[in-house]
Amino acid sequence: MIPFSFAHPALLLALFALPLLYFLLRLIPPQPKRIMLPATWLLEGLTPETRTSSTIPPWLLILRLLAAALVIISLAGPTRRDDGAAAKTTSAPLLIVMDNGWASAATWTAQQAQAKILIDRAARDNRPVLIAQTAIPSVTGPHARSRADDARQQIMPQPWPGDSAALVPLLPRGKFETAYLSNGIDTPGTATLANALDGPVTLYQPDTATTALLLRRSQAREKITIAIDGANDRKTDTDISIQAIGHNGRQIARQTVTLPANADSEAQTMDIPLRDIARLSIAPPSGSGAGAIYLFDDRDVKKSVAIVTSEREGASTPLSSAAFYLTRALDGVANTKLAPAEAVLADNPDVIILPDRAALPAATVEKIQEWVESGGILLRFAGPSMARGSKADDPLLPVALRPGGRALDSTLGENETLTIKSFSAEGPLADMTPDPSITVRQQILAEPSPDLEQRIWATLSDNTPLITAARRGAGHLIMVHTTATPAWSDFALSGLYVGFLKRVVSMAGTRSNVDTDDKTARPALLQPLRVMDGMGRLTDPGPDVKPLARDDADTAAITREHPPGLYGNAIMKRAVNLGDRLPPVMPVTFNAENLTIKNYVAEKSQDLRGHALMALMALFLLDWAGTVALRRGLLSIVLVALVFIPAGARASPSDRDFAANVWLAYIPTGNTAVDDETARGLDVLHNNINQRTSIRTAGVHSLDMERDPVILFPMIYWRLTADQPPLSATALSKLQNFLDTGGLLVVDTRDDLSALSASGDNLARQIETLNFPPLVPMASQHVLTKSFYLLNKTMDVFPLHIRVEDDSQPQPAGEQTAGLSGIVWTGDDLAAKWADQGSMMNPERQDVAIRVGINLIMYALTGNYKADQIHIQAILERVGDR
Amino acid sequence: MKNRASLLFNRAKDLAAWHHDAANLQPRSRHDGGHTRAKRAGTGFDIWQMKEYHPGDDIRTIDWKQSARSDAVILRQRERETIRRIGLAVDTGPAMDFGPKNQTKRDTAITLAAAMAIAAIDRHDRVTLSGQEKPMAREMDVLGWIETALEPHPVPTPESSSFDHLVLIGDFLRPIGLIDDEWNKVQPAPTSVVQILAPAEIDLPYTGSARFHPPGQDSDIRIDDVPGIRNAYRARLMDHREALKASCAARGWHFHAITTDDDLAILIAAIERDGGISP
Repeated sequence: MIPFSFAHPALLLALFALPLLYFLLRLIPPQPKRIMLPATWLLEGLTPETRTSSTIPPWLLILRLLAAALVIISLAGPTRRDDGAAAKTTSAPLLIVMDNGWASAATWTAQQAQAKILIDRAARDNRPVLIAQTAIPSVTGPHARSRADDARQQIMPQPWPGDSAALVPLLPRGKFETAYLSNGIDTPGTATLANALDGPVTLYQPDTATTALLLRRSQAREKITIAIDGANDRKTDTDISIQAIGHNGRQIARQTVTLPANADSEAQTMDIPLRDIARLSIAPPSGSGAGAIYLFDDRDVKKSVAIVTSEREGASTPLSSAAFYLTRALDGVANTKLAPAEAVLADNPDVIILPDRAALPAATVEKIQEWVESGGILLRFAGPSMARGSKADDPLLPVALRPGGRALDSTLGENETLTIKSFSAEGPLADMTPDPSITVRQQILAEPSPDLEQRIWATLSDNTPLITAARRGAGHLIMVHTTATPAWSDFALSGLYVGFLKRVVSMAGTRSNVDTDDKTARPALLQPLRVMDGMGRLTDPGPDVKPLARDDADTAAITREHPPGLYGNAIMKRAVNLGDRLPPVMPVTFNAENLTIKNYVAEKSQDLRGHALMALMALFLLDWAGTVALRRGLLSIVLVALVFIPAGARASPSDRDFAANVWLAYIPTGNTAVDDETARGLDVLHNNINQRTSIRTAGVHSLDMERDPVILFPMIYWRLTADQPPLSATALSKLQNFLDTGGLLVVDTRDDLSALSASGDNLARQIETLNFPPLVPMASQHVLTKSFYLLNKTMDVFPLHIRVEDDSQPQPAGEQTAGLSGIVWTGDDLAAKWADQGSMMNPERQDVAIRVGINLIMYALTGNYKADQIHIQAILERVGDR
Repeated sequence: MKNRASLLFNRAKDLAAWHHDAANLQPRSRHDGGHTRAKRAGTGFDIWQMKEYHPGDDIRTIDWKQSARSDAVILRQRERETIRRIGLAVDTGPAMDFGPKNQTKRDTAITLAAAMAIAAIDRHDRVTLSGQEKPMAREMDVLGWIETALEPHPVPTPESSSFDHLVLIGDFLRPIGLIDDEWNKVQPAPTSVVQILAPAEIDLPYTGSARFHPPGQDSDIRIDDVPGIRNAYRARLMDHREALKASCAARGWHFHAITTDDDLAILIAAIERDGGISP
């Protein structure tokens, strides 16, 4: 078979017309043109001195005929194709089973390409095609070619395991040939399917180096151990890079794990503080899909608890100090910190515990009130000083207190002690069991009121409240009516005390999005918050996704109803991960009779139109050179050659130049007009930077994302066009590394906010795969408005559409780029404005754009230097001088 | 045709304005525009000469200060100022329709004449364009003239009335004998001849074979290989131009040769220098 095929083979018939064209050209000379010339009388009697060749030399003729042939061939759309084996000549329908479970994200391109080849081949043989998928068990067809291709494209990888056995009842009767497009990982029920199939079966499997890897985790106390699991037949050791992504969306750590040759799994401990991690993922190209991502939930996030203490307490009498018992109980659950009342809000804790304090300074009370309103939890314990001095109108109490303590065993002469009777079914402690061994000897009583009942979380055996709570705004006030020490009760010595504190702490940290009422405090169902799609992206849950019963949250199987993702509500969040639920990963096995095993022949069909057009261009150049040579002699050939040589031979700067100097770099879009303008614009900026500032930029460089050391550039300018080809995986990871190491990426959508949506989702998706925090419109006080020029006034006149990273998000400790935006997103088409030099229309606008550019490069080089308030004095003085 | 006319008119106006600005950049004496120093004694502003008094001279012109310093009586004579008459004769024959579509020889000739006319009106000179009977009074008259000049019509004979400066504009591609006959009829006056040619007329950039015909005639001359006769044609064209130049020189006229893509502003300055207007 010819390894070529043509999109429009009929056009090739035009090749027969070429000899005809030749003869026509030779036989019929063109008619002389009739030209009006005022000085015609001057021509009278003139005869040509030398006769120049009116016929083309044969080699030029051949060249031109060849060019014409190439035009025809490239119009016919040549494609090199390698289908693997030649088609079998059966007329039985073809059943294509796409295994699109979680592991198929890694091999999806190969699976789809193979399916397309099979569909095309079946169409050539006039065989109907049935298409089945395992993740959402279904069989469609028989289809004609175009319908089959549509059906194929509609199938997407899903984040749960497929179920081949479920396909069996859906299979049509009769004999057919089956192609099972596996993702290399064994799918449950494959054996059942294999038995049910009648007819020849071909199992397609991917190269083992591309099969999916599964990220598992075994938890230690402070650190985590991750394990990579895969059906590994890799012949060599594979280095796998694991990224830890923080809550702000930024990469906070990266670690390389080496998967030894032929090993199925490899474990490694990562040295990352747990509370900072939002998710771990295996970085591309090794990892893709939902299996390569491990989500963390709030069980891993340690809350910070501030315990209010006074100087007197603590050091001298540890066993009678509330702080001692609380710290012990919270050890390992939360980060605790002792602080005097005035300083308790300094670190913005999640929970404040106030053991036995009656009065606080009025200013502090106000601040704590505000903090509770915004979602904080204030936990108070009773005690002697509260019994003495508590005020009825204390705003930091959930219920009004009756003045004076109630000492059960001595003061009131009642000879019994009280035990905990029950936990309110409405409260978040409902699932706790009262411990009869706990006795309460002394308490502070609540003033009876109509709504007291609703505020009780725990009652004592005489129906007086032990724990009361009330909601204040987004936060809670919780009061324990006995001490945090064993002074008044055994509560502080019990396991219940620890459980209670843990529960209180777990309720905290939801200060942003709380809009639930008290009933959801202990939800029976966890609603899906964000779920993963088949490619491992977190998305909003679709209609198929069902809430997860709280009790099975840690055991429920991952299915279409419960894809991996984050479930929960404002109070609690649970991560559902493939790595926690799946059995060990096994390579695919298929025990059918009449079985052929093949590897994917991915991407073997190649569009040759580009090559044909390149050859055509070369021929035209030769033709031109030949014509010039005929007319002007050989010397001109040399001149023509000189025109082309400098372009290729021009010295390009080396990596050393990039490292030693500041270059303005941009990512080419492939659109020559746009790139030229970008280069011109940056050149104008480069000149202006050198004229106006002490920065000496070396020049403008168009980045070759594959080869250039991207990391050496302080700032990269990226203009987006709708038709821009997507970046390669290498380029993306380089770009990510650039961002992570403090580079500044300026993304310009060129006044065209639709550029992103229009370009497809290609580019948008690509940018999404970069890790960066959410972007917000630049505040008028942002460092960028003052890194060189003071722009905040200018922006009132010429508004700029600049978005920067949201720096209000907390930064992980120790991050050097804290507060700096790695991405600046603008729609102002800065390059066009820079390049617009000499335009009389709006010189101010160009100047503003140049000022913004200078501020950008200053920002890239000096970071948040100008944000530092230490220099404000000097800056103000300088402004004043002006 | 209206659009074309107003396009050319605007182009001419720009040219005249540019020319006016450029001329004003030159240091100028204080005499009024529209008048010219006649190099004769008169009642103008600038001093023409100081001379000794002879009986018959106007005694009002005696410069008493100078006379007191010397023994003789000294007169201060001023220049006489006259109104200048300019004639612009433009060849509007069909041969002028040669050249690039957007800038034929006719376009160039009309633009040049119109710009000079506007500049002259601006200076209060009395300017007459070929085919018109009376001098132009307003700029808008020029627009009317352009509309008529855009229609091809037979070559008019140059004006027989007398001018202070006559400008002949055309391609002058007829045989030199015919041209000499015409020029002999022209009244003696300072005269400038502007020959406008299209680049294609000079370079003959055609390849292969072609049939060339004069404007408005069917008879043609077939050339089988145009590049082969290119040099010979060009030599004849240059000879013709030399003959024109010689004929002008014999009459004491000025000769300018331009192509349709040349800058007219420079040319206008040169022509006005021929007529003694620009410094």
